[in-house]
Amino acid sequence: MTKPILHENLPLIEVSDPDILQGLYADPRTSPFLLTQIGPTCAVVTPGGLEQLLARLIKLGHTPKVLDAE
Amino acid sequence: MIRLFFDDALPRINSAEIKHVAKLWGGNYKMRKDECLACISAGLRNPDKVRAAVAGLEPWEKNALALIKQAGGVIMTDGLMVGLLATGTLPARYKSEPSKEVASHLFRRGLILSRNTYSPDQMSNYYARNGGVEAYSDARLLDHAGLPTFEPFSLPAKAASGEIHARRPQAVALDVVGILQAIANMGGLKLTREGSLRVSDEAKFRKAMRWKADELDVDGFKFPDPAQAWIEALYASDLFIRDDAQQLLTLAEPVERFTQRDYLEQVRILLDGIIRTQKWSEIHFNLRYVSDGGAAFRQQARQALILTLTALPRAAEGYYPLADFERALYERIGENFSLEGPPNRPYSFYNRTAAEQKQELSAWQQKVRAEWVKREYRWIAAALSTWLYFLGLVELEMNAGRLEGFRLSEMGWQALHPELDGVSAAPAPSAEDQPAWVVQPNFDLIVYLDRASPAQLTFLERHAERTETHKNTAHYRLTRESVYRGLESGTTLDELIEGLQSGSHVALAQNVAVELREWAALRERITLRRAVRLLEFPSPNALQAGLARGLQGRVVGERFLLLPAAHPEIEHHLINYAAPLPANLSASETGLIHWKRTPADLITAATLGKWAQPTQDDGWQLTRESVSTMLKSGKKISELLNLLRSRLKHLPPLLELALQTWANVKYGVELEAVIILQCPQEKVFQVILSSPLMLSYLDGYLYPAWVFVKRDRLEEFRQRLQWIGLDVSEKLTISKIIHAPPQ
Repeated sequence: MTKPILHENLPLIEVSDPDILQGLYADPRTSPFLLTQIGPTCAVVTPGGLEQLLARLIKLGHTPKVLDAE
Repeated sequence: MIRLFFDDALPRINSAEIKHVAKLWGGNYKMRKDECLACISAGLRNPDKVRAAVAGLEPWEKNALALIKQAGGVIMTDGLMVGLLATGTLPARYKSEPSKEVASHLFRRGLILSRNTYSPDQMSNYYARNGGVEAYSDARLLDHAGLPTFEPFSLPAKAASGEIHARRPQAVALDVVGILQAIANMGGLKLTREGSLRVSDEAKFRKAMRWKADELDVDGFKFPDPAQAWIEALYASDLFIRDDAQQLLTLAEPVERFTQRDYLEQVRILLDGIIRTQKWSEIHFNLRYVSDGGAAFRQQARQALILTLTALPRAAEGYYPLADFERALYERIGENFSLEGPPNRPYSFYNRTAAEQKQELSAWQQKVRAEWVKREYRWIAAALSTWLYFLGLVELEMNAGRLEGFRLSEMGWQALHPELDGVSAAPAPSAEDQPAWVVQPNFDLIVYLDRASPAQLTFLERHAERTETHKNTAHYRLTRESVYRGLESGTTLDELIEGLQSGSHVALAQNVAVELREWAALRERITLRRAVRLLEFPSPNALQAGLARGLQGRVVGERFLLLPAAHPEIEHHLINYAAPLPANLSASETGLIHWKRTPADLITAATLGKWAQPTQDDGWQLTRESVSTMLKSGKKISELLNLLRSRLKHLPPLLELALQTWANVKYGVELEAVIILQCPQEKVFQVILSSPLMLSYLDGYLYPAWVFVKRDRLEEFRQRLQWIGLDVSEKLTISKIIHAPPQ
């Protein structure tokens, strides 16, 4: 790969602390929705799975901020 | 209102009939049809002529136009008849006639046409039992139609002796805001493929409103199926937008915009909607003779009730006894209307004396009245105590648990008398937000409804959970969930605290403010972004070089830059996740998967990595163990198969079969070493199979040449064959497989 790749319309999760992301990857209720980890606090979400992930997070007591894009 | 015009339909009117229509515009019976058409069109095009024509109509004809205008430009003729009867202005000569006579008169006067495409002059429809004919008037005529006028009732109001129940406009507004906000919070209401509301979404809406499935208690009055009633009413009021592609009903405007209207307008919108509801019913009767559950007749009844209430004199002091009111309504419409369709008036008095005719008519009238008392009387009471009370339009007098009387509330009087708009002061919401609640340190809020503005009520519905509603107060609670929901709807923390503070009589308790800030901070811990633009560089150095060249964005990984909206000014590959990803993988029969071509996306590797083991050459190996692990975690093999089918040009059938069997799909095969005697000549095959002696050596056969020999009697069988004199070869002659058999 020499040229950069522009990934468009990609669903993403971003957390304030790397431990939170590790916890979500370790939790079988949320891990099915998490794909490539692109940084310590950022991961790709399964396309089409963002609403389900949001529902799971809320059920687990989180209050995630939901934004359309950056 | 639908703006419809007569011009296109006029040429299809019978020549004899068009002469009647032309008279309104100065035509006469000597005119030819084309002259009549020109005369009518010219008249309708001239606003002065239209104004003069409408001014010259009889009062009841003007009322007909007013009712059509109120109905939105189109009306069923039976409903028009009932409406005219309710106003008390229909001439006596029509009262014993069916609605088609009234409709025919209005047609010949040039005021209505049927929406029947081929016969706009057709004013009766034998099959249209539930409503008559769909008729409309020209929009240019309706532009000059006023409000309906009424023959006033001479109904005395009496001093109340029972308990009075009334709803404040603020309480009504609170319920309306609550309904709209609940739907907004749900992101709309989902529909089934057939277009009806999903049962699960109706249940969610009820839960959000804290309504029971079957009825709502409003100050002790039972309101049946409230969710169905108000969802249907909102739909009929055009407060919903229907998205057929997404099978969703969403609010046509933000809640805030609706609540910016004054109370009267809000109530009028919902009143218009509830009158038009079809499935919802105030009370359930066993209706025998109606095909649509009585929807058309209920709509007529609601319209007639509203018109009759409008015709009531102002009862400033007393209340109208329900019994007197229903009798007055019966006298206006009872012989022409019932919730089961118009009563069939006796029409054939052949060979009867005048006395006999009178007696027969009297007997019919008694029967109709008796049925009215059993059915329509109860419906009127139900209408008063459900939507009319819920919307705050009536005050009810109860005595020993029975509805004794009622009167229009101030809100009701003004809502039904738009001619007074701007004349008398409407019950306006507080123009300025003022302190209207107390926020307690335990996060409970007590709201004083008489001081709360619609904007404040909307604010609370969005950021707090309503726990109780009373006549003068409403109780809310701030919770982490409700605050989260409010912040997600776009409010900032500062706006939330400022809003709570500005509406509060006392300073916000410090612990409340601290907790709100903590709840808001929790929301910053996790951010979900629906559709970002992410630039992936081949190496960390390349990313740094890109930044040095002025690329804008936020670094979220050592090779990843989260981009703002602008397109990056750098040559790049593009992967769009809103479209299906390309079929750029290859797979072997043994389950080895590789990229066929790049660039690689950010989905595939992570997804396949869950199902397969990585290989050293950047591929994946599907194994029984790796697949089983995922299946045990709750995944389905169909998910893997769908992934492979979408991303591979060709999924090897052997691999597909293996994946299915690994997922416990049972396919049986049998494998055993067997001894076969091959008989190339069919004669030999037939002789051996038909020999009782040889059968004892055999297990079975495969037509047309193979016989399976019992292993334990092989030597004995061989001797028999030699005894027969057959040339026994030790090796089978088998054709090689050159092509796979067709599937």
